[in-house]
Amino acid sequence: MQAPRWRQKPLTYLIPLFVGSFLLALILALNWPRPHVESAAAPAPVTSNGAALVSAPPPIAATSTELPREAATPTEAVALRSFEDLIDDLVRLGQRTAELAQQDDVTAATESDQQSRARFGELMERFKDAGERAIGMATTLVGDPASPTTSGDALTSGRRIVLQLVLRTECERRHSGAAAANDYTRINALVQAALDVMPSTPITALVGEHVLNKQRFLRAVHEPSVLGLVKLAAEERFPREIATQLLLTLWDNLQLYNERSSDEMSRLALLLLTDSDPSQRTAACRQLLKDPRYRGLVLAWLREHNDTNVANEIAGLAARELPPAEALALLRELAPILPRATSAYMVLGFRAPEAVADNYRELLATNTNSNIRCDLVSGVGMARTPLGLEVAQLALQNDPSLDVRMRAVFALTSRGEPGIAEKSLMQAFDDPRLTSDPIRVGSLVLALQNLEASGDMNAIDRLGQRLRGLAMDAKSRETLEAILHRCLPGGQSATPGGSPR
Amino acid sequence: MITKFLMTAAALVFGLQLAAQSSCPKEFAENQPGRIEYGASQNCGSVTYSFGGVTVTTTNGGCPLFALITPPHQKAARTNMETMVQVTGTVPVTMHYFVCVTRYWLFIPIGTSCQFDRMVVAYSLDRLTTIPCPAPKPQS
Repeated sequence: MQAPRWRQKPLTYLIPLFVGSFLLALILALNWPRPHVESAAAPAPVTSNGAALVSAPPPIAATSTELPREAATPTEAVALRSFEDLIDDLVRLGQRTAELAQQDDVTAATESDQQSRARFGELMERFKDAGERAIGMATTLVGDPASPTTSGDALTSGRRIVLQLVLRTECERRHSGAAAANDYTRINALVQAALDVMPSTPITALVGEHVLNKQRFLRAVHEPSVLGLVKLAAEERFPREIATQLLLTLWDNLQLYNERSSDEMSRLALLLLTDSDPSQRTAACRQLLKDPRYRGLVLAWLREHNDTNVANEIAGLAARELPPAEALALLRELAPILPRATSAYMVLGFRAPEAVADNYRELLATNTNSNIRCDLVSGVGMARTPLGLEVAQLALQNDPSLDVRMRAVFALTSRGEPGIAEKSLMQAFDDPRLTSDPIRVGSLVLALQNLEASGDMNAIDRLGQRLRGLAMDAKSRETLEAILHRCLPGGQSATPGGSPR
Repeated sequence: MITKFLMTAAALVFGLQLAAQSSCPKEFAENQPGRIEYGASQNCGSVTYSFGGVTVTTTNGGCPLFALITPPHQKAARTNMETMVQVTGTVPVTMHYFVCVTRYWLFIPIGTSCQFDRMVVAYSLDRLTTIPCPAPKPQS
């Protein structure tokens, strides 16, 4: 048998094969997509340790976001795909993770979550201009960010969330590098780009707010742009709330970075206090309230102008930001201008229930400021704590003011405890000063509504029977019958003292 | 003597006029727009929620502990007219509680984890209307 030809003359075949392989390898080497091609085009990286940057946790709420260091090496899949495709990949991965978590498949969800982290890390490593790209892509998103109703909207919403994450992470890493090198050029430029596109669409406004609000990225250099947004808000071309929040953040940062002293800010605030623009006024009030030296001035200004809208804003700011004792003192000072500040007291009731309760007991002992007592009882009573229960029961039992007692009834019926709710309403029914006033009876009907969720038909039946016998306005009677119809079989009460079932 | 009489008469007439005026509070029912106030934020995403034609939306990653929804109502305000306000009923101010559902620990929080928990009536406000003050009774 004759040997094959290639065995007879191997070089004849091997040489072309070697040459061919070499050429193929050369072509592949020249055309293989290089993972860091964008980084070469981008400005100098903010730090020499890229992996460390990517491993920084993206600052999103309630998530454990430390990225795996091994994600720093881009995979082939990532290297081949565009920025937009990678964002969509992340949206899909996120949705998949959510589905798996919903199905209680913990192992698969964790795996999918890890994959998301790795992909995200790869994306951030590959695109050193990820922030600018995220801003660019955000401007192309269309839809109603407030109410995603279609699958298209859900995709847009998912993209927005991922883009926010990318932009925030990019801001974080540039900020870290800037702080180390004391050169904020790159982070300032990125923030400026985000501010510039914010008025474009509702989505870019949201993205910008998410990334910049209550963060340290806004600096003095951005002041004209922030004031530009405030101006647009005045013309109703930009969301007022976002403009105000960014202005507040800017003012905080100006002091944080010593770009303006506290005294300078206060002087500016004094000038802006009379500004007709609500955002500027809010920022001015907040600045002045923070400094006890100027607090009296704000109150004097308010008394002079008797502006309840500003007074409401100040009450809210005080409740959220001042130490509780100072906030309570300020709210009391505001009372002549703002007889009711229930929401502010509720904020304080969650923040510092003991302080609110003490304040109530003090005013009850002196039987003064019944309007404030109303708000204090609601403030601490609506928080569903044991202290709230104690204060509401104290008020219902002992407060001379019927208004305060009514607030206590609402607080006691809203706790989701039918026994307490029924007892408090029965106690109210036994007070002829309450039951002889049709308007107050109407309020008791509204309090009965709070029992609906408890599903205690017997209690609702007993209370309903008592209420049916009382005089009230037509609208309240209609409400009462509607409640009974919803809660009792056929809306019919049982015989007195009996059970509907 | 005549001067004294005239002064007394003038004072009496003026006093009666004042009494007639002061019996009318000179108030009217001023419409107040509805408003939404939010409690402190929990750190778990934003929420969009509708109730009675009002949409609660927190724009920036904020899940409010509660939203207090005050419907449009009236308050008594000063006027030069001989009018007063009358309470005709009540309107409920509702408190809507929200909770952070921390079931997911997702890296990318697709799907909000801020969820509506429950709604209660926190207190009521008076519904007001403006009515003319009763004509002063003729002095006997």
